[in-house]
Amino acid sequence: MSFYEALILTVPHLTDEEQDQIAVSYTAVIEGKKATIRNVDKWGKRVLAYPINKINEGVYTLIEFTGDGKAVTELDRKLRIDENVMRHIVVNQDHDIKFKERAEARTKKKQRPVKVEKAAPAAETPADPKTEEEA
Amino acid sequence: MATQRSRAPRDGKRNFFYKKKKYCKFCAGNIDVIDYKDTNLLRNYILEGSMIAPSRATGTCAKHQRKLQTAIKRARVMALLPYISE
Repeated sequence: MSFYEALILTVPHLTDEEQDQIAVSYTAVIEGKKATIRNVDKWGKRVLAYPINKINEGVYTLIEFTGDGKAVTELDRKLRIDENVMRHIVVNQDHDIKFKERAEARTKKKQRPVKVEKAAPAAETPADPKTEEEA
Repeated sequence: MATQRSRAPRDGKRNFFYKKKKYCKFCAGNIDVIDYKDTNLLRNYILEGSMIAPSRATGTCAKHQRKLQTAIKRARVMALLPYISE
């Protein structure tokens, strides 16, 4: 089981109900392969960076789910057949999550030594002022 | 490379070609994951013709440049970023 994220770009001239239906149908495909959906994010209509088949706008939907490869292959197959889908991408997020955890651990480590350093030289610091006073 | 090195002015002479040393902003910000959906960030690393900016221009380290590269290419496929712009 690993974490995945699918971004789907659909045709803009459909009604809101039809757009919702598309999202529901693909979540059903994912759930049909024993995968669990974590989040569905509808970005709505956006202007594309370049026209695709002479269309300048598109509707983005982001589906995050956890499952195995079977769910991904089935989702990919269905997305390719669908004529309303202009582009799609499925990304594995396992490495990203690992890296994020590591980065968080690193920031915590950076904060910790400050406390440790204060504790260690605390015994030495009282001696220092005396030498300064003598000088 | 010599122009990149910061050099203190010597003998009262002014160094007109003083340049700040470049650094990797991802290393400095402790960012290890570059998201292809974050177009506002990626647009900083794209040149005028929407080419990927070389690391020698931006100062990005090799490790993060590789991640940037894949992120920009993914964004292009999804029409979040342009392949070419005039």
